[in-house]
Amino acid sequence: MKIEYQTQRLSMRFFMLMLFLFVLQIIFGMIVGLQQVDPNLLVGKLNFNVARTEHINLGLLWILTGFIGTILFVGPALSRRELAHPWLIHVLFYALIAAVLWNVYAQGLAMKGVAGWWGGQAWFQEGLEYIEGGRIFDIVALIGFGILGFVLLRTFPSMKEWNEIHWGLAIGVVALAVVWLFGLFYVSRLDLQEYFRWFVVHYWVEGVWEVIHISLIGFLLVKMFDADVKSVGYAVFWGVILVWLSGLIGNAHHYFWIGTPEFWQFWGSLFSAFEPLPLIFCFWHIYLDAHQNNKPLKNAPAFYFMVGSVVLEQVGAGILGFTMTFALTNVWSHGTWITPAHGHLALFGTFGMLVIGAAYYAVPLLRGATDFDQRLGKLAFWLLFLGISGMALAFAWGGTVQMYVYRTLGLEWFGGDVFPALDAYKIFVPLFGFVTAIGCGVLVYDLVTIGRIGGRKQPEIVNRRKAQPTRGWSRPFSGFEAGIWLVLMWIFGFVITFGILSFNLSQVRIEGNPTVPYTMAAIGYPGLLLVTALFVWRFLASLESRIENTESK
Amino acid sequence: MSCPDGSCFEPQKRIRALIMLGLMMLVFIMLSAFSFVSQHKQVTPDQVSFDKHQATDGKRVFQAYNCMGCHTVVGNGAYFAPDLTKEYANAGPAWITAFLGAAATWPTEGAVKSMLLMPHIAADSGVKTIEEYYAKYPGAKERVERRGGKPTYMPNLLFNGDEIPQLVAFMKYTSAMDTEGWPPEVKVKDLDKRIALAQGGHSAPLRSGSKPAAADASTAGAATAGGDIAERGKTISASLGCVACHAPGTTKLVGPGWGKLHGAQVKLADGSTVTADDAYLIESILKPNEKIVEGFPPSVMPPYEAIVSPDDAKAIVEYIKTLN
Amino acid sequence: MTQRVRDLILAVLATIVASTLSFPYWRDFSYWAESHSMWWIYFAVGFVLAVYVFYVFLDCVRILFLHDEFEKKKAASKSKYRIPLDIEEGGEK
Repeated sequence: MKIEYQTQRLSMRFFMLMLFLFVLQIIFGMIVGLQQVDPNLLVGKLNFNVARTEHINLGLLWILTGFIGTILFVGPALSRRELAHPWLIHVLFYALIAAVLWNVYAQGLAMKGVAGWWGGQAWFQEGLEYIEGGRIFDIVALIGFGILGFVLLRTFPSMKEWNEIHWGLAIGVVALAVVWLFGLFYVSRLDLQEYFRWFVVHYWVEGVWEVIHISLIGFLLVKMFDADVKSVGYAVFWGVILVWLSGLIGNAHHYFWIGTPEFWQFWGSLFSAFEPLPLIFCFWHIYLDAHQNNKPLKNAPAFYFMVGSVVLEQVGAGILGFTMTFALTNVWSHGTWITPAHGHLALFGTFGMLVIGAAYYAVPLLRGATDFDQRLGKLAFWLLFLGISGMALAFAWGGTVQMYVYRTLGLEWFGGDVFPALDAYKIFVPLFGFVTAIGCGVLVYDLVTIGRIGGRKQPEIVNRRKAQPTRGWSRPFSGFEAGIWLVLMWIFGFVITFGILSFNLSQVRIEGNPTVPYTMAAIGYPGLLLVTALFVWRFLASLESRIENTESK
Repeated sequence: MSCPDGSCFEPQKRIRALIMLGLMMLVFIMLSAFSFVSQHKQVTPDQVSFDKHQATDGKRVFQAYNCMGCHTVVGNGAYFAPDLTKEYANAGPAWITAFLGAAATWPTEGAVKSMLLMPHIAADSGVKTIEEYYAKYPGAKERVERRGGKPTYMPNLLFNGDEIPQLVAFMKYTSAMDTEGWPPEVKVKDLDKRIALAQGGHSAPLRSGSKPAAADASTAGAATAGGDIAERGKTISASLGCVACHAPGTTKLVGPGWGKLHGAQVKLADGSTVTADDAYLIESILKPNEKIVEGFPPSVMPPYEAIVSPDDAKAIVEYIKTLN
Repeated sequence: MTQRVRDLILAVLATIVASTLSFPYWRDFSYWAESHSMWWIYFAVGFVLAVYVFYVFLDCVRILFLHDEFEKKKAASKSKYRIPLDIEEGGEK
């Protein structure tokens, strides 16, 4: 495939900006990880709260930048014409850089307690987790979303010609801006403020981003495997509907303890119990499309990251989210390290890996590098995958200890007993962070140099075999086997869930005996992550060993 | 094509799904409306104040310093530092005020006592003596006993003006909130047992600092008696938390800095000028509201005569002299 | 037993499990929207909606597999036959 529309090339700069912001985010992440180990690190120069805010905000921003890049790449192909108003995209690019720089600076003002209050609003920074940006940043971002939506809708053909992918992307991009509005005003009641804050955070991630995610995965599958667009469209529609059917009321899982009435505990638990369903659906969708015809992988890294995205979505968002979503388990896990274990896997896994996958798909095409060396991309995938999984494991185990020491025993934090109790796990956060950082470095080097540095070519290892082996680790991957792997993941997920539930047992709660939850966490988390890693390895090994000229051609 | 055999009624299914989605939206909106009506009797920040400070102002301070970037409140935030939701109910206004003034050090009993001397803090905490305070706010007792005077990990944020009492008002508000039973009640009784369990079930609990580190000023003073008198003054002022409001240099924090103060000409609020000699400084420690320095509001500093002996006050003045 | 009944039974079972895990056993009916009668309504409406969600999930996962079978059959019977792709225009081989 070659680039047909010149405006698709505009996506390149966004992918490069994305990589730069990813590096920045990792740097702040390393600082935050080291500060967990030594809280006195950089105190007074870069306090933890500022470094963490930068880490979170840059994380959201690079993923959004990647979304923009992908949408710009996909938009003309979907519409079969050039992007409308490309000058607006230039404006968007520079506005994005300015907004990011401003926000990185403005978050530092929190150290002096400067929020820029004026007219009842915080204009510089507002110190609310995930939506820390002040009004200035918020408004610039809103205009940015407006530009993106306007350009995309103007580029699309008339509505009669839309398929589900068009609808998904259009709704996603418009909703991106609409949901953002709920974070644009100051609320003095804490319960009401948290209520609206989760409107932005939950509906963005589990409503809007998920829709964009499903649509983009759908499009890329059509492109990579010649999947039938109508069946992909079917999957996109029902994927999106399932996300909303479970996630709309599922948002209530954020309303258990913020001062809202207790009926949310029932609604939130019941519907978010079903929030993994769209993810299971999406899992089967990518499995089936990848196996419809046994085409070999042309662009392995792109598909690696897409599989990573769908699988970590299943594990991080689906299973780890499930374990802590019931009021009965959440009462213990809420406000502990259990949350970042889920958060890291879900956010980076699902969305980060998707946009990296999209970049791997687009960048070689944009540079005309049809035969690039794919080994570095695969290496980057495994480093990032293992790094983020290891961090999740450290957070999850630390969180289990924290639930016990902080909630069950009611002991105190710094200078008390919670902080030293977490010592053993804190070290693993920057350690696996370092693995992630190396993966990030390899990724950036590879994506920046693909098609540029003297024709790095795929080494000639293909076509040595006559057919895909029928036995062993890289034999064809049947649906039955995929189902077994999925069930295994969920078995470990239930072990974790019942482990957290067991904090309610009088044995733990009154006698203070942590044996049951500790044992279940010791089995559940590593089991889950091990099965996940093996599954990804198995899936990819099978696809890798496909050879040309089997059936499809 | 969405159904290969053509028997799956795809359009009808899609319409039904959208109708169900609409129903769910209706349920969600109704529940949301029920959540914030006045019948729910949830406390709101405009109903809570501490002294003359509103919880609504405290919330702005809380956001401005991005407290949520380390702490959690109602369980949301950064999991790097303690949850603050029930902090007021646990540690009380005197302990929180003493802590926030000099967050880098855990408040000693002397520092908490001196906060209790302030009429508005005493009135708000509803107790008179430190014993009653400890009984009402058990968190303060545990913290003073186990780690009073030791360094903390919280950076000294140098709050200015009314920010500290405003934050106290905000925490008073969050403490009053009904959070539906979160954080869960601790049912393992006996602190020693809990500490032993946390440390892996050691039979002899390793309570760090189970002996009060610098429980009050006179002990701290006595410990160094016979040593350099200025050094003793330094120890006393640290254990009382004086440094929370008085910088060792000339910077103005809550109160005037101590650097270059001794012997200087000080202009008072009534327009007169006095020399900051020993007698003036001792009076300013024991009865600070007799003479108010220009530019500082009255009744901010509590009268320390109840807990500081004239000898200790002299020692502090000797220490102030060394800062010239 | 028809497919529909089987799906429905599965959906009801899944919802019963989810409801059991979701029930806030410590509720205290502190105000009217949490009163006993309201709780019955919540439970009934929530149950029906949840059964529907799970039912839809089963239905569309099955159709996903039907699509796949259909595609494979088509590919096998007519290997040269190409489905016109709405969003494709040349380019990809």
